[in-house]
Amino acid sequence: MPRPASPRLVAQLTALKNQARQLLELAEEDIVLIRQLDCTQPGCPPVETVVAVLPPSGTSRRWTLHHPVDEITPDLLAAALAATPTVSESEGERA
Amino acid sequence: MTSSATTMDETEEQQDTRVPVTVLTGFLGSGKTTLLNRILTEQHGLRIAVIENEFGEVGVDDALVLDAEEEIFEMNNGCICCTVRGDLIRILGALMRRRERFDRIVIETTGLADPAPVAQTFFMDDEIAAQLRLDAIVTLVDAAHILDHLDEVKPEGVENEAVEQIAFADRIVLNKTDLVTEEHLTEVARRIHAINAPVEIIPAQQTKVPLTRILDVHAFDLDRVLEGDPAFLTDTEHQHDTTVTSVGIDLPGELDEQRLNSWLGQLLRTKGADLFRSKGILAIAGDDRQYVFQGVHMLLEAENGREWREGEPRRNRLVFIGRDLDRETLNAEFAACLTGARA
Repeated sequence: MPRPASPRLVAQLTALKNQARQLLELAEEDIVLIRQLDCTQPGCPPVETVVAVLPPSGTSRRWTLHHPVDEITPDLLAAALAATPTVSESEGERA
Repeated sequence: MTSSATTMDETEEQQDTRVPVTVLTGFLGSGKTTLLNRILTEQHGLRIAVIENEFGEVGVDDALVLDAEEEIFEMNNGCICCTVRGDLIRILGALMRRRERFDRIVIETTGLADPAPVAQTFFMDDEIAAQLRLDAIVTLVDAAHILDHLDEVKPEGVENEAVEQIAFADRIVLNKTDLVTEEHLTEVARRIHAINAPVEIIPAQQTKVPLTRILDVHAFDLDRVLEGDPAFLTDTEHQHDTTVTSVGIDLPGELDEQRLNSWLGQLLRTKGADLFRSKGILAIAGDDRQYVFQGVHMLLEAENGREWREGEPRRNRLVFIGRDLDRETLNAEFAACLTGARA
C-alpha cells in the first residue's frame, strides 16, 4: 500500500535523479524517471527500481536495480548506470 | 499527490497549484475532434495547452497546440501495468518549461489508443505528479453506434477498445443523442453503467456540453462521485452481461494497515493487469486523517485526505473497475483487513 511520498523520500529521489544526470552527463531537457515497481517476472526479486532517461528525441534508456528505492545508495546507482541500458527508439520531439 | 477538492481541507485545496490535465478519449466518429475544436475556439477565457494526434504545432488564438505520436514506453519488460506514454512524458516536460503560457492541459488520444499508458504516465514519477494532476478521463461516446462497438467480438487476446475507454472514464459525453430514441439511450446508459457504475454520463448533441462539466472537475475525488450517486458502492444490480464491471465496497470500521498492505499488494501483483481503475477513501487504524488513493492497473498513488471529524464514524469506501472481478471475494478479503476481523 503506497503512502504519500515523505519529504525524505522526495529528497532522496531528487538526489538520485541529480546523480543520474551528472553520471550520464544529461542535458536539462532530458527527462529522468525513477520509480519503484513490484516485479512479477519469474526469478526476480519482488521489488525493483527503474531509472529511465528520455531525451527530447532519439533513444530512451532504462536501467533496473533490484532494490527498493530507499536502499539505493550513490554507489549502487553508479554501478547500475555503468551497465548497458535497455534502449527504445522514439520518433522525436514535436513540442 | 496532494489534492482532491472536497476531501481536502480548504487551505490544502488552495495550495494545490498543479496543472489539471484532462484526457479525451473516444472512438473515431464520436465527436472528439469537434469537442476539441470547441475547446480551442470558444471564448471561454481559459488558457489551455492541447496535445493532440493530428497536427503540427500551431497557435489557435491563445491556445497552445502540440502534436504527439503514440510511443509506448515500457518501464519493465512485458508488463502492461508499467507502460507509459514516452511521447507524453517528453512533451509534458517541454510544456512545463513554458508553464506561464497555460493554466490547464487537454490531451487527445487516438480512437484506438489504450487509455492505460496515458493515465499511468501521471502515476509513474513524483516530479510529474508534483506538477500535473490528472483531473479526469473524458470519453466521448456516439450514442448511435456504441452498442455495436461494445458488442464487437474481438479475436482472443485483443482488447475491445470501446469497453476499455468506458471502463477508464470519469466522465462520459454521450454524444449524438438526437439520433436515437429514448429507449436506445436508456439501454446505452445501462450498458455503460454495467461496465463503469460510478461514471457520470453527460448527454450531448454536437458535443455541446458545458466545459465546466469536463474540465477541472476533480473527477478522481471519490467524495464528489459519491455525492452524485451514493448508492452505487453497494449496488449489485449492474453485475451482469459483461466481463468488465465495477465493484464498490462500503464498510464501517478501521483497517489494520499491515493486513491491508498485504492484501492490496497481493491483489495488485496478481490482478493488476485486470484492474483498470481503483479509487478509495479509507480509515487506517491510528491515523487521524483519511487515506485517499487512486490507481491504474498496479500503480497506486496515495495522499492524506482531510482529518476525520470528531464523532464521525470511520468508514471505508472503494471502487474497483476491471475485468473478471469477483465481488464476493473482494468484499470478503477487504473485510478481513478490518481491525476487528479474525486474522
